[in-house]
Amino acid sequence: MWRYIVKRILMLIPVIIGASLLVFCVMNLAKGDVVSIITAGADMSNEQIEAVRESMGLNRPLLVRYFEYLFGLFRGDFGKSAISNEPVLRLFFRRFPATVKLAIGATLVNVCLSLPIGIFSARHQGSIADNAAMVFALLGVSMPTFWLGLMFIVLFCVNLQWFPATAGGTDLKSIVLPSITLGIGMMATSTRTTRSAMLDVLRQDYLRTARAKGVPEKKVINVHALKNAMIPILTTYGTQLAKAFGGGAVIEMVFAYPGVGKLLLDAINNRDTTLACGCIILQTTITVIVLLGVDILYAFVDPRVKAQYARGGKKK
Amino acid sequence: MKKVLALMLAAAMVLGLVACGSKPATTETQAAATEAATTKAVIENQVATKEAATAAEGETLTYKKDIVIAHHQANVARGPQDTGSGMQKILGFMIFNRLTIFDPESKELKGSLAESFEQENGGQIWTFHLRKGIKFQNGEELTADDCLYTYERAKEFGKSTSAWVDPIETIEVIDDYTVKYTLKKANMDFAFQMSTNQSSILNREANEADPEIGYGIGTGGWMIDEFVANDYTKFKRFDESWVWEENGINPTETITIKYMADQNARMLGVQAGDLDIGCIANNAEFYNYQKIEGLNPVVAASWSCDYVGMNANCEYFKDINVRKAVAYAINKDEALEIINNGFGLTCKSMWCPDTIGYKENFEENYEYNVEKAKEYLAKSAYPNGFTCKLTTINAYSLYAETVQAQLAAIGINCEVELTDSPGMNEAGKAGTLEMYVWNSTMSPFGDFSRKLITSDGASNYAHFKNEKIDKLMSDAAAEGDAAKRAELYEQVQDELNADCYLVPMFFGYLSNLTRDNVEGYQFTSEGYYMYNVRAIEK
Repeated sequence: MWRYIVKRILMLIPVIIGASLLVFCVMNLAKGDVVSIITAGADMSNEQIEAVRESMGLNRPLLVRYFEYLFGLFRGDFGKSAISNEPVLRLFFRRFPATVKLAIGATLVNVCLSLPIGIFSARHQGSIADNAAMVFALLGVSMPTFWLGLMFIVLFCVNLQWFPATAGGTDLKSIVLPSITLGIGMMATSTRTTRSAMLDVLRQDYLRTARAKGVPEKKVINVHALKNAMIPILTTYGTQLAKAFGGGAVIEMVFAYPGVGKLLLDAINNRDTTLACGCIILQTTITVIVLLGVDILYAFVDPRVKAQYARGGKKK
Repeated sequence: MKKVLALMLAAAMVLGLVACGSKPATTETQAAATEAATTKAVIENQVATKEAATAAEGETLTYKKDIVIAHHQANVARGPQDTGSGMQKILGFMIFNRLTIFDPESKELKGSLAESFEQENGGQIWTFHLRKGIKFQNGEELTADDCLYTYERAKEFGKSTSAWVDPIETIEVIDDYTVKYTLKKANMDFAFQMSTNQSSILNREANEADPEIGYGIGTGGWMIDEFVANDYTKFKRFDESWVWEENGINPTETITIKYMADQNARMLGVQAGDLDIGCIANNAEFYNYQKIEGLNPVVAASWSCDYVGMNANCEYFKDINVRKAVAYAINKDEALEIINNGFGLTCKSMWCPDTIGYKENFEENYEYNVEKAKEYLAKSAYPNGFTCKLTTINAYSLYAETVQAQLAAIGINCEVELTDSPGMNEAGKAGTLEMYVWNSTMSPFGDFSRKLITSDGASNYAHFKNEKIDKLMSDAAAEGDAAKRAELYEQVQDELNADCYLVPMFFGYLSNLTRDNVEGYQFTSEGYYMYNVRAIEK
């Protein structure tokens, strides 16, 4: 298992190089640079603006800047934001805990809604309730998240005054609505995956045997059936959690939530290449680690996977 | 069952599409248009001010301790020398002061940290006499050496300070309260430059002790308590500041200015009571906010001019008849109605009404006239029209579509190309724009328009060269007599009007949504003065 984990972590290196090169190239292909943002609103001549560009090293060739950045990266130096001059790591990790809270909150909402709905749908396949549940799940993915977020603000913040309209911090009250909004968006895929995984398992003979032996229906579903359906369900939850760690920029914008998604969006709009690159690399790393965590979790759910890890991934 | 469900969903979708169709003009829309016309007449050149109330006899007013304000731009730096954004201006006006200040009501430049100032040699030498006893937020007293330090820091580290730093030849500290600036070239607008946020005075001791924290220490009424870049800045009141001497100390104890990019979220925050002030970036919705109880949308005239530009190097626009055809074909009133619900001030000059030498009428005013537009096009080298690119940023897409439709009426077909601000700036400087819709902020001091209209101007994306304009601008910058300066700037506007590379559309309005218990603010074209803002407890 350890060899597998180390191998997955080492795979991060080509991923980081690829992601950073892609970001550098794309940001430089786009017209304009960060200097036009910095000097906007200031009464400066072309020469003065070029002097600023030169002082920031932006007139050097792309590859020179890229390799300088890459070498810095492997020394642990993610550089500084061109706009605020703050270290990228400091900017990112100041906001990362908020994103973690949002991701976990959204996943909890997702699991609490999709798991019971998916199981219920599977058990009552073809019924009105099953169709209603699928329509509900479909609505969740169809409604634009920014619209849903604004509707929640109008209802729960402006009219009912239950929650603050602006997420002033990351206290519980500020996280509830953003988590529900993001979680509902994730729910559709999870519900359908849960339903289809459960349907596959519910048809199995061993469940009929369990019922014949007098095992209570609740135990048949929650212990025998669900456990065997967990692999695809876990994969879906894991992928969605990893995505949520990337930050929901739209949610963060609507609720003024201080997460990394908005930080990345602003960096891209401002052509702040160092900050954008740093955010993408860090988010990619975190996504890979989360997915690795999900892979490790498989071992606890499915003993066959554990045995496979123990053999070093080799089949006999 | 599934078929029934699918049919019901399809019916709901069709119903939704029908319901979302455009409404014909109704009485309500016409009333809004009348309201717009009234508002326009009332707020021409107006400053949005709400003075702090005085308690009636026997009455005690109680105030909220904390004010929360939301703005659509990010706070990126503690100090004033990094960017020229609107948000940084707001922060700068809270924390710092400058040698001079533009009074938006009297339209005069006055001393601020300098109790008086004078110029010699037609504006080549400027001497400022500082007020005594002004304290920085670290307890140090303001001296002339701080002015010298501010210049030194700007020269070394400043990114958006070149406008006031580069013209300076030398700075001389005469004594603790007198500082003399000698410029490379005479410039009568130098004192105006010293009123901009980027010229805010910093404290040497604070910056040398701690460059990060010291950079955010000024003489203003508010000091930084918490600064989280791209999120919020929280201020606490600095009681020893000289700004409280005139009006007494503000009862507000803390002010938080948050970065909230989404306008709907800002407006809902004000409605919910979580925010006291929210900046409105999209004025088209202003009238909706007027109808909501407990809210007070306020507006001030802006110095920001939206215009259509034509690249002098583009083959079509080398022809003056084509440029005049475009100018006559654009219906500014209709465009203002469509784009901003009539919220703005149509204009004939790139000069804003507050700018020295502002001129209202010209030999040819280019009033909307389709027939005249067609006549000019018929006289041009392209009597059958042509196709060109019309570039603008995403936020101005409605502008571009409106201009596209108006020009199509005379046979000029525009292919709209959308980009973002950095892309627009890059294309403008590279000279690859053909026709474009853009925006330029003017200023009371005439030399500010140099960047837009002179041959080497950084914002001259039309790349037109007019030597007469270049000479007039240089002569005006060195002219000490205000009346003669105004005359020179009038001639500049005549030249711009005759050349017709830039078609000014309208000056926008700056608007904010406040709760109706909020007072003590002043929103002006120059910026937001909020050091005295307060909210009466309901």
